[in-house]
Amino acid sequence: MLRLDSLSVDIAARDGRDVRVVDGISFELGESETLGVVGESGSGKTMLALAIIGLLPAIARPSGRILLDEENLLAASEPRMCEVRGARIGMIFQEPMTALNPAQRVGVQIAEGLILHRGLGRAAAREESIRLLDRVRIADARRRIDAFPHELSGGQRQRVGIAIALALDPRLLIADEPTTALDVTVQKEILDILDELVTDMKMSLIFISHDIGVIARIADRMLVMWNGRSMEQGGTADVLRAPQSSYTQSLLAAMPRRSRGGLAAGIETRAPQ
Amino acid sequence: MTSAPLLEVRHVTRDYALSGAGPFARKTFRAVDDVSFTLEPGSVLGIVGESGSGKSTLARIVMALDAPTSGEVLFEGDALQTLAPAALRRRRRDFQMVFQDPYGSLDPRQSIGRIVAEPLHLAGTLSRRDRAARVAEALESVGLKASDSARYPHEFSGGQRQRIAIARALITEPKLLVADEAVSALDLSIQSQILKLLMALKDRHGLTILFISHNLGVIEEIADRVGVMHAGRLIELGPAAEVLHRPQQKYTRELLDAEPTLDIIGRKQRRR
Repeated sequence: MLRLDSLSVDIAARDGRDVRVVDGISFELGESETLGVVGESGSGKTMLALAIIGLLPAIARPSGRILLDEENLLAASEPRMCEVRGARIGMIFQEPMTALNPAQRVGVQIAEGLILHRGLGRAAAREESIRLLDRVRIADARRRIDAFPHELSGGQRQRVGIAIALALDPRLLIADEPTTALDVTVQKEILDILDELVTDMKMSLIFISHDIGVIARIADRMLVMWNGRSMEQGGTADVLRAPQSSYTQSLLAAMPRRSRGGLAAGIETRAPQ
Repeated sequence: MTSAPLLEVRHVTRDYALSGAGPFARKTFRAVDDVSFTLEPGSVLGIVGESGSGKSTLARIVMALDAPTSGEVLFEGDALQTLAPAALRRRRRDFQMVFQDPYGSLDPRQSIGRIVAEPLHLAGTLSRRDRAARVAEALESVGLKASDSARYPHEFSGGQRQRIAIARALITEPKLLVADEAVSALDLSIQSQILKLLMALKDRHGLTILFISHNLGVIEEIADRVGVMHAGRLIELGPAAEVLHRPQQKYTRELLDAEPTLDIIGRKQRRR
């Protein structure tokens, strides 16, 4: 469904030289499949996400190919990308408070895309918004739809963020650190919801996180990034149980013992010093 | 434990007045609710809790940056809240704090030397040479170079900045270090380096640490004893191995279960 052919992103630095922030990344993602992208700060994982959804900053120049159902998004015009965003690719951000408009009721924000892209009338869009809030397990959706973002908890706000991303029934969801700002008990609920969407609605998901435990929980396959490059990719269990790259090994070795769980003993001896 | 406690927190409660409740309405929010514990010299107490559990308010009260509504905090037997301002200022050299954000907590316009030397006014007057020697010593104890004192915060990475913040906290040779989410903003590899550094400082200087975090894995790495906070209350307190492996409270069990680990790999829906 989605295929990246040696995607690179260069950013022009002030001294005129180019900095390569994403360096030759290739992968394929099938329907109803989840790819976890793990990396430390500065690894290029967010730039990778922005490149796919066509929201790179103006100073960034992508090269290579991003094929969504055989259409090269890097060659697509901006009007075309406006159709692709929302309708075919939905995005979920880290901090729902900044992604949501604080001055608008959440129902209006969910309905916006439905009215603009799918041409629904107000009443129909409102009904559909309530259904979406139910879908992301917001209790009492009929009442909550008229709440302002500040009246909701962090977990509820992130559910609204997911509902907005789902509104146009995209085939691909990109979630960039969607649970990083949340408490672990809330994080667990959000991961369950995303898991359900991928399974029931046959969506594909790219899940970006610095947290290997979260990636282990949600991803079928994973990509380990460092300095813009792919260090390793493969089935999640394969990569975590038998990491081939010394970088992956050192990442696992740096995890607290509790988070590493049963993998603790095997990894430690293999980690480079 | 035979030694006298370094820190004793007795029935501390902190109420905040809720805004908009009106001048005569006595509506309050109880951020910390009847919390008691003691901290022995040279030990590490980890406090774990989710956002809004009251753990940061508790840290501020222990640091005498905020006063409890009721209850008291004893540092080496002295009730901090009853000390005269001058006496409290003299005591402050004995307890120092490290914050979460290594970007927000260092003044970008000051040199590292000035930043690290800042708490030294608590230690009385020192000659310029003594001051420089103390800064050099503090920087070296956290793995930085004495010559770094002439540089500025923007020249350092997040992990190095957190080392600078620790050097600043250590320069008065405090007995107690309060670390509030001190490694939460750091990458995994840097996080484990900072934890090792804190452990080494504890072993070398007999430092006592109150380590506050939402991350159970990090708490387990560093703490001898663990307290669990929930809705302002300290609901469970005991040796780290007990609390983290045989939790008594339902909430602690939920917290432990929610933490993702590599014991479970793959999506739930697929695993069925």
